[in-house]
Amino acid sequence: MSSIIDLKRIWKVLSRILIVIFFVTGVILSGSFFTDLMKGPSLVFVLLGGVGMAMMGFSAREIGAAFKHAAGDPDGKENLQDSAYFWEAAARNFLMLGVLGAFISFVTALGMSRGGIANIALGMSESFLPAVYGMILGVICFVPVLKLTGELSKYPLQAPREAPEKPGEKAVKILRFENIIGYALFIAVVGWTIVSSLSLYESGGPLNPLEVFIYWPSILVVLGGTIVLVMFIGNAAAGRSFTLSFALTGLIGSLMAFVQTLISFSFRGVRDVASAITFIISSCFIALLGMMLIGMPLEDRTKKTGKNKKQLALSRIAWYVFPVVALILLIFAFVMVLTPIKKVV
Amino acid sequence: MKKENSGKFEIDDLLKQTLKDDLPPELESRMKKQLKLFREKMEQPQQQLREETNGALRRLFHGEGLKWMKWMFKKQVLAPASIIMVVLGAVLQITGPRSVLAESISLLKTSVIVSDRVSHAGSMECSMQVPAENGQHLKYTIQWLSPNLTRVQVKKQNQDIIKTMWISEEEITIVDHATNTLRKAEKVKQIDDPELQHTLGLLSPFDLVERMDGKWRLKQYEQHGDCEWGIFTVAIAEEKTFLELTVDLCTFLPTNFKKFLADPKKESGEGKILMNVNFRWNTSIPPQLMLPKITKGSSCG
Repeated sequence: MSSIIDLKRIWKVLSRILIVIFFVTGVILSGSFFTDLMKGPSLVFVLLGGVGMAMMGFSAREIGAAFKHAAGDPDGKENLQDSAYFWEAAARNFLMLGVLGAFISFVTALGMSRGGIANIALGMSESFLPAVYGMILGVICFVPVLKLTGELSKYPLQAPREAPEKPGEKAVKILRFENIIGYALFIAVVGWTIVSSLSLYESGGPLNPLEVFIYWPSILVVLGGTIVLVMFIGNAAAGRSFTLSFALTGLIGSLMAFVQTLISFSFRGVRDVASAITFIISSCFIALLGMMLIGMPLEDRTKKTGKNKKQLALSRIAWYVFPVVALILLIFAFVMVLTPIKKVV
Repeated sequence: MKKENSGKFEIDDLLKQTLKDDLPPELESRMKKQLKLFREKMEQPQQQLREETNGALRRLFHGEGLKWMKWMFKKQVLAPASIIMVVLGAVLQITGPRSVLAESISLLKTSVIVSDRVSHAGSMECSMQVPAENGQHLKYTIQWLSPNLTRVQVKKQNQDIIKTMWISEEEITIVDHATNTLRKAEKVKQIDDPELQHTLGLLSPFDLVERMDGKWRLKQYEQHGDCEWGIFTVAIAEEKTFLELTVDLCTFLPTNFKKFLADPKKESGEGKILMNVNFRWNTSIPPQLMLPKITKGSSCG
């Protein structure tokens, strides 16, 4: 009996390896189509950033348990819930990192002058690749979520628990060593990407990254708006209010700038259009960075088991809707930059 | 099987006899005391370190010097401060100084619009001046009569037209009025006349767009009346020259094009002018210009 089960397992593993081999062979044989989609630094950015973000919000023990559960290790329902949450957070992190990478690459491409409009347009098109990588890695991380949710459904249903402040919960909020390492890794990856990409600027040497990525109007609007909202929502230490506030202010700021862009397109000049596009890019960038650095790690460290489902639903809207809207706005920015204004004064 | 089990039972009995829980109460209490002392001794440095760290953190966040921090995080201060931040951000967006990123977008967008306008320009006339030997100048008039027909006239200073070139879709015709000769070519690349070499890059909308694309960086925006004027510059290190293109930001069409010799002594880097071109766009062209004027007895080469 056991030998039949072993044989089944071997066949299962072999079939998976075969599928991977077929996929890789297909990619190699496809020629330039997939090689055009390969950009090593972007992939490294998304991967390392994802590792950093996972470490920011979870302990080494939790990460290890999540991997064990994903590999099929049986455990209690509560631990399975934690692991499912970890994998969902990992998927969300990859998605958001991909979008953040797209914004950084887009801004970098805008600064390049060599090779003409066609080359700049190519650079801007390629800037969407990190978002593709983020989505692919996010989908991969969603597989364990679905698997663990399926496992969870086998357990008898329990009444949803409200999440009162447990005595041990304060300890969860305290930064662990791996959390600090995660923050350092994330900041190093983002900082290095920005600084190294801006060294490609050609106006007499590398530009100060702060000059390009720090646009004061959008920083003031997004941060000011976030503080106001956090004060209204309350419970800032839980992180959820930060995530929601950053997402909402980023969304409002970028949509206002989008309207300003459309108006400038019709009635004003190039400089107003450029200023409004800068506001869109900058407010989305600041909001994403704020969510990833402040909101989500806090949320991950406090929200584990016994999460309030309604609260999590709101957070999920912020996690998935805002990056997608930001990406759509970036595509609009791309189109608007490369579309000639028809109006002549 | 039975032998193994009997061995196990023997060991069990032996262990039970040796580790019997039959210590006298006095001895047990003394042992417990010793163990407690040992544990305390082991934990003391850790506890001390923890207490010291906590004390340092407490002093850091409750010290006199950081009272302002507590005050800053009060709701009464945070609420108006954040509203001021939002308002200031909005005001800066409308009136504030421009960022490097916005300048980059302006440059790219302006280049895109200029390329589009030039590509779709119906007709153009430009006059070009190039320094020649003996301190004299060569004067050129380049006319895009229609998208596929260009006429170039070359004049020497204070003299009549010395050369005329017509470029159509089918062929290129060059008439030398001084020698009364006519030559034909199929492609622009085949033009080997040194006097006509200066006109390359200005012979069609496509040539001009190609010349501009990928080289220009926005130097400055200047306000002239209701419209803005943009000046694009480029430095070509290999040829030791600077190119400067002035664009009317109302029509997004070039108005002037200059080529300078690079001068490292000057702050702007611009030295002697090698070429000066003035553009006039979409002006009506007299119909007689559409046909070449060839005098009798012209020979074909």
